Amino acid sequence: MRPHPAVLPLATLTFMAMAPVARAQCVGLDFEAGYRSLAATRSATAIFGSDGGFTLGGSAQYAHARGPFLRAGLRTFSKSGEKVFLQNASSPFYPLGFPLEAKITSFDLILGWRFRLGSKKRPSPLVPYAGIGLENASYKEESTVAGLLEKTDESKTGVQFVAGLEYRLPASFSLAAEFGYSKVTGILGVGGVSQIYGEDDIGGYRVMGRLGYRFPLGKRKGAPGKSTTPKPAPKKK
Amino acid sequence: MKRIALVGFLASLGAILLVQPARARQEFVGQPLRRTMAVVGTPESFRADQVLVQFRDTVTEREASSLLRAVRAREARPARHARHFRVTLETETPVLETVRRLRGMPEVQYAEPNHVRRAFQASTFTPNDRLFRLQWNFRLIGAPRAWAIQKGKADVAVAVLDTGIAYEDFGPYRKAPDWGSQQFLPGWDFVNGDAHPNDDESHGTHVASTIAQATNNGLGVAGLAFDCSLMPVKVLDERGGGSDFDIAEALDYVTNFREGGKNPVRVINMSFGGGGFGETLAAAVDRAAQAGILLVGSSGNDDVGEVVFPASLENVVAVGAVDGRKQRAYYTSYGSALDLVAPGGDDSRDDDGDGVEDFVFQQTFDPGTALGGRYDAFVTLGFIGTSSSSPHVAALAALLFSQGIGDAHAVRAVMEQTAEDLGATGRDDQFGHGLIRPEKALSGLGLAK
Repeated sequence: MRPHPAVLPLATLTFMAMAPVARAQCVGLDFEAGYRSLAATRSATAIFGSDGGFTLGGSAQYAHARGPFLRAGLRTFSKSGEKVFLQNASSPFYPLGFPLEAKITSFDLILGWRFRLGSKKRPSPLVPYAGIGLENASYKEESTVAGLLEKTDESKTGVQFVAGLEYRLPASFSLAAEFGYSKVTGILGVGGVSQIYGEDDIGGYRVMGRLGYRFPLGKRKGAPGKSTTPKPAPKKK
Repeated sequence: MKRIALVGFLASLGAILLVQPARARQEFVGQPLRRTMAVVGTPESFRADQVLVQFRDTVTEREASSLLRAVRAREARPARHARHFRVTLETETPVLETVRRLRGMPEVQYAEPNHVRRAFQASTFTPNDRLFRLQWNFRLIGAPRAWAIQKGKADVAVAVLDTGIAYEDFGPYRKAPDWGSQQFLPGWDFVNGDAHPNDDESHGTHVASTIAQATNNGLGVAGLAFDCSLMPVKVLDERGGGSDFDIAEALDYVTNFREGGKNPVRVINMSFGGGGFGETLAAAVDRAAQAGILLVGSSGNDDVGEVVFPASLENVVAVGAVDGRKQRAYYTSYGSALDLVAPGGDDSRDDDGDGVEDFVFQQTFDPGTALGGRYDAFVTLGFIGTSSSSPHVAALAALLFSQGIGDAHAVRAVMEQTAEDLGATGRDDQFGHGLIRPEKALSGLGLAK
């Protein structure tokens, strides 16, 4: 037996969950779009002509303004290619003209930390953050060979790491640039060209842009609200 | 309280993952082919008055003539595309003794008898009807499904080195009616030395029909790669025998053939073999393979554990035979050089239950009437033997070239990697890599599957 690769990230998450936190909290919704590159570079290039492409998704998070955050996200990545023949890892591949559609849908759960820039009194609108977590990748592959549909539908869980820089905009909006890396094994490497190339990771890296909206939870220090001080009674004339 | 619950959940998940067993990793491991070669020969297995000899580069023509005179040579015919000679000896000159004398000369690179190879034809059977339903062999390998994917392309040709093909109306020879509009490249008759490689035995036409008989034309039976072209090359005479010299010449002819600046011949089928190792023929096989042509040969019909020459060569895909149950046919030779198996038939079985023994049926002329000089009595004839299994593989190779796999090594690899593993797991000496699966070979690979 050997430890699962997710053990270390989970241990870190556990540690982070126990850390002291700031009090200001919010719930946020984010829309994400960007570029994803598959770790199975050679396999993807053989089938699709390149190893990356456009990806988009969204996420919801529970976060402290400066402190831990927990995020759940969903992303999708689709690519079209064609089936090939490959003799071995060092031989050329031969496209055979049968169209192939692949789709990766990833669900992830990330626990991370938002760091403070600037002073406590005048915090910077830039918020760096980093996190690690789990990614469940669902892979669907469909190809049609002379009228016969061939399907692959597999789902596995792996680990991922994200790091980004958020810029807080007025009116609770935010923009962020984020880098992510995931490793999900068990779907690739057991058949197809990925087996011949010895590539078993369907994860990879991604560079995303994020547009978010934050819903504050509870009162913040100095925030406008109803005063508890009784109003002076109007003078009688 | 909520945070304590989260910490507990994460810690529990970590503990579960910690004890998950490691997953076994599958790895692709290639297996090198092993070949058996031996220098043997009996008086029945080579031309009684001929030897093949090649001199070293430094030997001049005059020195060579002098040396050949010393061994009672009557005539020396040089090869067209190589440096060896076919030397015809004076009457009563013993061939093996002459070979030994030549091998003892330092000027001689190699010398050997001009071995005779024989067509494999275990037996024949003529049914009354001419229907595709008789072709259990194509159903066994899923040909109807493969045809939905690829039927072949005319710019991919298979050269059939055999007794010739009934491909034209010329003199007493007639074109078989079930060729339809099949395209034939200009071949050569290396037995009679002319440009009309017509069949005078029936074997070559049957073999070629398995590869590319006209199909879906309402006549006779089908061929596996019926939209591919054929090149008739006659190397076996009317008794089904041919010499290494002629076969090597034919291989060089095919190798150097050009049409429109390129060679359309991607596959050579050799449904013959026998005798011992022949360096002349082996060298010609190597030249063809180096030119990017895939060579396919029969393993032999002697039910022995050694594949015959030339199929035993590394550059030839050696094909054995299975019956309708996918079991090794009773006659097929096998061994360490066997690469693949394909349907070869069994005259004692009717595994598809159609009321007819499981021969491989194709159109050719009646070999009985051919003995009387008539080559126009065309029938749908049943053969069994590795002569019939080899063209199945040659045809599949032609389909794969048509599909866009441009390299002979890759075509060979796809046939081996997609074969149905029969017998012991992995490659074995009884079935090689297994029974060809055209549909699987043609379908290719996806990312994950």
